[in-house]
Amino acid sequence: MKLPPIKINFKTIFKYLFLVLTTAFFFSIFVAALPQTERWLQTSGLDLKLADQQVWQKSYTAQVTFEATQVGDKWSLINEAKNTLYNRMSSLGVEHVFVEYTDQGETKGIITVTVKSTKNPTDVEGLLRQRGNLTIMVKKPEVTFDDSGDQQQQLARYLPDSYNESGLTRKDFRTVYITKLKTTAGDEAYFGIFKPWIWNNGKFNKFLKENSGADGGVNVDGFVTPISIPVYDASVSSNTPRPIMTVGLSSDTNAAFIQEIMFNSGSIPMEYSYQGPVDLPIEAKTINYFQVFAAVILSVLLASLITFYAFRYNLLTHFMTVLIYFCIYLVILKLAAVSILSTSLILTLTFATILSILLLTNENRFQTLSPLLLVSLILYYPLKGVSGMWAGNLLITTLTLPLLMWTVEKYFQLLRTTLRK
Amino acid sequence: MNMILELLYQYSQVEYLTILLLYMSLPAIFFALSFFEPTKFEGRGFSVSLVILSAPIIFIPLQLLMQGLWDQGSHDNYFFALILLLPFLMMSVLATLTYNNRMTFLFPISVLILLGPIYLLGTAPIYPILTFAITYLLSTGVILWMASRTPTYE
Repeated sequence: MKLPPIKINFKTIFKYLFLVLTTAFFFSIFVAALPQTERWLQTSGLDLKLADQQVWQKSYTAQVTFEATQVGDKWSLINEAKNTLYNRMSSLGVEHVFVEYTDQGETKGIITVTVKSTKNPTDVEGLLRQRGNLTIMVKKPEVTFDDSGDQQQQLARYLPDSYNESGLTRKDFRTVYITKLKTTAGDEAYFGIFKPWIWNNGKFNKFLKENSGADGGVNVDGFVTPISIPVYDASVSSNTPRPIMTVGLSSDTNAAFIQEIMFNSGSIPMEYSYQGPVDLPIEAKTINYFQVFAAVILSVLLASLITFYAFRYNLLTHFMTVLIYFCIYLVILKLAAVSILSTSLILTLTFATILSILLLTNENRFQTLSPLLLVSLILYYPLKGVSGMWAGNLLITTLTLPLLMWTVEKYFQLLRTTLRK
Repeated sequence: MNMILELLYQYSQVEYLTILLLYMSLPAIFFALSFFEPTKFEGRGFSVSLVILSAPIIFIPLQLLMQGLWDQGSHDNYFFALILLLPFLMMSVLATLTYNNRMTFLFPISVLILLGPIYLLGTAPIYPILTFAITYLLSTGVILWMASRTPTYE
């Protein structure tokens, strides 16, 4: 007997599948985002880390001394030093930084950097301790490095006295690009690649030709990291890419990140003697998170109802989009164990709420999104630290919220038609 | 006076200049968009977005008052408030272009309601937020006034 062919309605199956999976996703995201979930599920992976209680405040001082030739340009050099220190702090993501200079006569002064942050104090101090004066050096021909000799001979490769200045300084390079490369031992470590300014190509090529294959060093504030100057084969055609000059850094990601900031934030142009940190008192605040949580819910409701009164948009889609978006945001933060300031959470929620209202009240969503996308893209690139993080948030929210809104709209549309059947 | 000089120095920093340039580039963004949606953006969109420039003009003296004279809030907080203002201002412009009535005022009012819980948290300084709020309300007013005086192509 021949069985009748089975007709499978794939469209209906996919609809049901979409409904079931989306319901499960929404529900699980909501449960995972709830406060105290880590207690119910006995998993510390779902514990939201709020950075509000980790804030510390310190003031770091350093004495600066000007040479007789620098006195005339003193104030522009002070500005350069202040910019360098400010850049280092904002590249690290320090939330609040204030750099000030106190004059102590013609040739002396004190630079004070006041920092209020949640970042690692060791990283902050590491960046403020150094002058960041970088020069490229070439080993003196008469010096030999002997690792089997006495301590002085073993240390010779790290001392500037063993090298001659090459004439190349950090200012000759556009950037020191940090990337992970294979070492000669076969494992991976971070290296800094020196990328010269286009107008310094001639100078850099000349240096490579003259010192091809020689031992060199990168001198940062009197400590030399040995490097091998790459072999430059002048007989090869000019179209061949120039060999890259690298300096070996740490294999630890955080240490490499700190070195990247150090190499790329400029240097302090005068004599700089770091003196140390002073702890500053910080006002201890007891935050009632449940009160804040209730206020957040109330404010979202109030803001949505006010705008709904005027614009009559789909309130259910709006609430679901904002709620699910916020839940996804919280779950990502929980899973990635990233600590966040509660103020940043509220700012993101505010932006998502207003964007959702704007998208729902505007017929043409492209018209709404494109200027915001453009602004966040432009903002994202140059900004660093907290402002950069906000710009990144803005970009991600502008990209993902419309997608989520589309999913929520489809979900309710399908749910309605399925329930009516 | 020293404090004000210090603030003026901070304004000359690279990041501040980037933000100010970005504010100035907004008319160009709307001009580019007029190719996609001529009825919405041509004429009004361009001139309304020019008014976004009023935001730093309102913001900077307010900051000088708050920080320079009353010593309230650090420079970074104000810088952040100025960045924060930009996307919200754009939303006001977009809402104005869509509705062209006083309803646009509901957007800054909603934002202020939504930012309310930050006051309860007490972790963020209130003066930069206050500067943000005053600038946002005033510049939305300027945007609406500008929109009412510019002919529309619709």
